[in-house]
Amino acid sequence: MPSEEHRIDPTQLAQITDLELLARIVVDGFMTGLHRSPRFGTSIEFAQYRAYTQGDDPRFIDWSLYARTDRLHTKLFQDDTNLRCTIMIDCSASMNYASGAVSKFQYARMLAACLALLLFRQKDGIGLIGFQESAELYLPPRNSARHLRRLQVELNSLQAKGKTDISRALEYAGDVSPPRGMLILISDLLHPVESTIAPLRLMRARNHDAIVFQISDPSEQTFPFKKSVTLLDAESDREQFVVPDSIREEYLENRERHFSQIRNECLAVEIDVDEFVTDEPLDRALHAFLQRRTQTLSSGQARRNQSVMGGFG
Amino acid sequence: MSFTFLAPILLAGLALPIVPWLIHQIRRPERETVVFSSLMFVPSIKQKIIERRTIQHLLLMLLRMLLLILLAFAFSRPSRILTAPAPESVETGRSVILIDTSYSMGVGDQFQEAKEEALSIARSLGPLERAGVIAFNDRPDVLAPLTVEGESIAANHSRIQQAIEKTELSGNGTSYLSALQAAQDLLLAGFKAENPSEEKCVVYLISDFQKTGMPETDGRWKLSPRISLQPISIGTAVQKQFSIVDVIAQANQTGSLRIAGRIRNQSTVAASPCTVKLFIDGAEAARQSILVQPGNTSKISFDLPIQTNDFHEGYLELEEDALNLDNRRYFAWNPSRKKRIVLIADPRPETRWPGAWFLMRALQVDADIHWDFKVIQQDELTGIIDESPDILLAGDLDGLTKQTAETLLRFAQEGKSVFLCLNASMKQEAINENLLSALGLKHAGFRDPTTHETPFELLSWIDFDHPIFFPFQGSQYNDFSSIHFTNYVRIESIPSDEDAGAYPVVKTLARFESDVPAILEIPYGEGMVLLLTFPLELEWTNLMRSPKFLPLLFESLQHLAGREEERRAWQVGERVTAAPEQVSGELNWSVQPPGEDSLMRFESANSPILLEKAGFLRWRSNGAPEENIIEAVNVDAHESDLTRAPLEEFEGKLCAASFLDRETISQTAEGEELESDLIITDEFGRFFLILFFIGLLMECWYAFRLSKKASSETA
Repeated sequence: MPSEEHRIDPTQLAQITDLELLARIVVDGFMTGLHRSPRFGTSIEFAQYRAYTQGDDPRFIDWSLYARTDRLHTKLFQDDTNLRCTIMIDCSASMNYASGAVSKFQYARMLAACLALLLFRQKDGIGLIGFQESAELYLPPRNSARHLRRLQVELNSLQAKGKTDISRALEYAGDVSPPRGMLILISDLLHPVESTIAPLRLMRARNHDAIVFQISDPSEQTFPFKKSVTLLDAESDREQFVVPDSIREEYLENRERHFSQIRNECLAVEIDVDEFVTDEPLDRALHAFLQRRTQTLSSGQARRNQSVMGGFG
Repeated sequence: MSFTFLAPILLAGLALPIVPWLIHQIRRPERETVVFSSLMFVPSIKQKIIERRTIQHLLLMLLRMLLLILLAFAFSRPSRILTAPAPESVETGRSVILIDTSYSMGVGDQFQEAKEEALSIARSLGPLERAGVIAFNDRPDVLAPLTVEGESIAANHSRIQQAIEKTELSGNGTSYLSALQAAQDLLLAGFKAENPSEEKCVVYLISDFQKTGMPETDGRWKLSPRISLQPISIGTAVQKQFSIVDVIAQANQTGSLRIAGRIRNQSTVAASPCTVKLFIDGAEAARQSILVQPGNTSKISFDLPIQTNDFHEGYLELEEDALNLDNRRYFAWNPSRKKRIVLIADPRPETRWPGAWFLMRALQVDADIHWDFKVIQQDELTGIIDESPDILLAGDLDGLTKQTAETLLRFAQEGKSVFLCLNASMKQEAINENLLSALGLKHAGFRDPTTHETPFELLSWIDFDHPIFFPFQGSQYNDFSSIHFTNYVRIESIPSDEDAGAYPVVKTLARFESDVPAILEIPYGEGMVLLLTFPLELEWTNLMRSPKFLPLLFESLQHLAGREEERRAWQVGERVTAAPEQVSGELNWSVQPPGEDSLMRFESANSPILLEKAGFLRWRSNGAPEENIIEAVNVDAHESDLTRAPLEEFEGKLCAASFLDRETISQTAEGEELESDLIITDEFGRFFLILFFIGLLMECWYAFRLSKKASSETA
């Protein structure tokens, strides 16, 4: 758990244009070690034995045990480097909204960079999908410094514009992501519930893990406008005259209803949804993510099939 | 008829509606456009509400603009005006010619000039223009009405010319107000109210415009603006003008007649001597020359050694000047009828100085002109009553018989007066029973000298407001402390008995130190009893030796006899009326007004006789020839003041519409109407003001309603 003094205001982070530097600042201040790979693989940390079957790597046969028992057993190790994680970042125009110094898109980009660095250091593969109405950018998961650098460059070059179609983007991600990978969706989720939930369910059915980071602006949470104003929809260019005092309550109710429905639907398929506000420190977001992820893993480990994986398979 | 604005400059207020427009623009809701992430949670406002609000606010703005327009219209006084056509170009119309016949018009040829002016107007009347003639002095006299049934307009013109030629100068004063009122009544009586613009109404006022004819204050009545007034001023300033303002005749102390008058120099030139002649009983009795400064008044008097107990009539006369009617002023002298006083004085040999002795010496004055005096004894009283004396002076009775007491009471009952002094010879029981009980009083004995430290008493309280003591009011005359009373009769009042009826209200005029009444006044029947509770004897009082005795006695007798009625002075133009008892009573009065050769009887009390000339008004009573009266009738002295009233004053006091600017406001442009010919018939400023206030109420209500509705929609 990072101490309070290590937390850095996103407003200050936004002034750092180099995403790599930004990610280092955030992640270096973040306590490492909480992360554990959910896969068994080749590592120095022994996990258990399993009876040898044809095809197992003969390097992992425990010959000592064979000498004592006259049976072939293969050693299984805790695999902590083989997570293939794809970060999906919403690049629609609605993400460009900022009531303060940091827009939702900036915040999402900083969060993605930090997650990428964090995952890289844990030897996980990191992929990236930038999407609007369809996927605009796809980087398959890799774990190399070069790949990380490229990912950060691509992140830096992304621009928020146009409309969103999360369902198409998720369908695309489901197609291109390696099986049993992990999907991190960073979006404002300003999209109809059904078309968002349906592809997420499908991904869970394909045994993908998914986690959703919902990015919100403080103004969206409180609707603080005082004067009558004409609101222009960032994506559809639709205009509407509003008297804020008269509609605030209804707006907040509508919003809460929308996101509650998404949270409930995601919870039903074991997908975590966390909301981050753009004035919230990033490391707190990372910590919350990792901690919740660990809890999810530990509770779901019993149900998981233990697989014997040789090397980096 | 057309519309105009009386204050057109205020139409600049029509630019005011821009103010609400600006305010609406400034206060218009800001439509700042803000890019928002998504409108998917924003509830949509019904577009209809927005459109409706826009229309409502627009209506409110229009209403406010309309209010300001109404206000601008209200203050710019839109009016409907009548354009009175110029007299030459008008063929129909009604006119009244007012001719001043007051005697001030007698200066030189002024009156003839006025008649010629009137005839000139009558001849210049249009073929469809009717006219009437009113001669006026201090009252109007319609000589020719506007319309006579069946009369043609030509006949009307002829009739008014005849009326003008017959007009005569009067001896009356001037009143412009009544003249203009009569002219307006005559004009508007047949005015075509349904279409007033068809006819013009003109009053031609031919006068010398004397200031004395103007009303003193600015009254409420004004000549209607529908009537055009054309003043025609006659005459010029005079060089020499004297007048006799008033004259009176009075008896002086020596018994001769004094005639006093006041002469006023009305001219404005340097003072010049003026000869005043006095004519009495038809012959010149005296003449004096007097110098009066211009604008001033001087007194003049003549003392005539003639008897004042005869009738005299006469006049003061000045030499001829510009105006002769005021050069003679009449007066009349009517000798006052002497009051008859009967003193009842019984012989009193036992008394050295009886009360009657002082009374006889006091009343038997050679120069006395006030009364006939007779002395009788008590037993002669019945016979003397038939001679109807005015006062019975019971000053020294030797006892009081019942018959005498009854006579005295009956005498007072009939309206005459009794002067009664009580004395010791009158028995207490007899006087109470026969006389004092009827007056509500009683004899309660004589003064008790043992109860007093001094042998005499003084008068401690005197009613100086009563006529008999009134002359003693001054501080140098009101000291009665030297008058002593060694004895008196104590008089007390009897409480009123309901069965016997109320007693007369007794008025105490003086009291002794013991608070006992000294002198009492008792109204009885139609007459009066003056009661002294002491005899006029030196054993009782030293009043008779006091210098206050004679004045007190004379004032008492004057009071009891009644004051002499002052003769009034009549003016030419007044109407003489008679009281009902003068017409049908025993006196049966007739009058001979000045200029009449014979006596005239009053037809009734309500039929007055007009005094048309100056001279003498003679009253004759068939029932009582000794009551004949001569009264003087004179012209109004104010009328001799020829000072002219400025036309501005005339216009301000008597006319609702301006006529003075007729000459000064000329045609401002070719084809433009003369402003003085415009007659405002209706002004709509108030109408617009009422509309404004109604609109203001609507605006308040509408704005309040919108505000309430907006807040409810917001909620």
